[in-house]
Amino acid sequence: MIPTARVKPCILAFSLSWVLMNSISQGQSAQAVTPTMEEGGKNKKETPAPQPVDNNPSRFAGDDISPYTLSRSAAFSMSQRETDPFGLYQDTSAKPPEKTVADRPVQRRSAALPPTPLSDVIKLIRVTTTMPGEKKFLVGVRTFSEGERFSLQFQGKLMRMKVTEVLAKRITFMNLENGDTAAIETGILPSGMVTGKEITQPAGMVSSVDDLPLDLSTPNAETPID
Amino acid sequence: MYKQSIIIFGIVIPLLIAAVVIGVCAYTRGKITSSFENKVLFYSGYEKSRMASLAIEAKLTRQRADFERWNKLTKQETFSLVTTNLRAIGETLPAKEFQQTGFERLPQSGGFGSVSAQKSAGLKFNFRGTYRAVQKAFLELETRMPNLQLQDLKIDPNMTPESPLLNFEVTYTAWEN
Repeated sequence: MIPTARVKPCILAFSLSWVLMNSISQGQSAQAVTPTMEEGGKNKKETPAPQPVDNNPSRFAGDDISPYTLSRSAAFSMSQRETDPFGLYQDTSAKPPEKTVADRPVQRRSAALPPTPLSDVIKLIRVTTTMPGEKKFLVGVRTFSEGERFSLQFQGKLMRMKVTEVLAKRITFMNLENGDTAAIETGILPSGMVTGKEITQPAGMVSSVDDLPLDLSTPNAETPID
Repeated sequence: MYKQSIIIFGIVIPLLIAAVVIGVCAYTRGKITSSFENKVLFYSGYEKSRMASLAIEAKLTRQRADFERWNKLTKQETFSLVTTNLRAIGETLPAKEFQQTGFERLPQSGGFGSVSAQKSAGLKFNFRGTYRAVQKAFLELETRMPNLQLQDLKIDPNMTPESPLLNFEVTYTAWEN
């Protein structure tokens, strides 16, 4: 049996020597590796390590704002681009290449679409309310009056229009560019309902409309006084 | 002879006493347990609130300098402050890439400023420059003056093909104190 007092210094010395050897070998290996890494570093293009972008709101940037602005502006994609979204060069001294004939895009003429009839265009106007008494109507919350001129945008084209007539049953529009007229029928009844052929009037009442013929065949006209 | 007495005093009464004692113990235990649970609940709630208040206090302490800076900023005259800042920013950018072409104070601030009770001013700037330079200038201006709120931004390319500069028209609402 080996005495403990002798074993411990042995183990201590061994372990110390092992640690020393290990550290020396590590140092040697580090020295041996370092030139290789340096060589590799020379071959590689030195690129700065990307800094983390400061995502805090700018109001917390503090008194010295330069680290914050540098961090944020480094993240702008525009710093890596030659041209802006409009295709203009970021470098003011750069000269754009001259356009050659081959650069010019071949212009292809597309066949003109047949013009949309005014009635189809007018159909798209959603009339909310008609006020025939005031000769007005509403589209959404906008009011249009009879005789009013307005512009209409349809398929990217601007059309100058005029409201020529506002009736209870119909609103008529005129295209001021070509004189076309079209109307929206507003007196359309819900499905399943039809208009009465005869206007029912209470007994003794006569219609106040001037152009309407006075109908003597019905008892509604006048009751003779005895 | 003593059979009845033995049954009563030896079995029934001890059993009754034992049942009463067990009942009292069970009741007391239940009460103590519920009281303990309540106290634990209150304590954990208090601890949570305390930690939250500590976190808020630490945040406020951290942001105290910012609050003071913001207060100082909103108390200053916006128009002259913006002019000073823009001049300073312009000095850091290439003159070819960033030019201030116009600056006016609007009679009243638009957008949210017009309907808010908070005092505000409307500012309109015109710049000519490259996209990159003006983007940097905006970043710096808004970082220097966090009380500026972008209202409107228009960018038009220059019509002359020789000039790569863009025309910028910016409207800000500046919050004031």
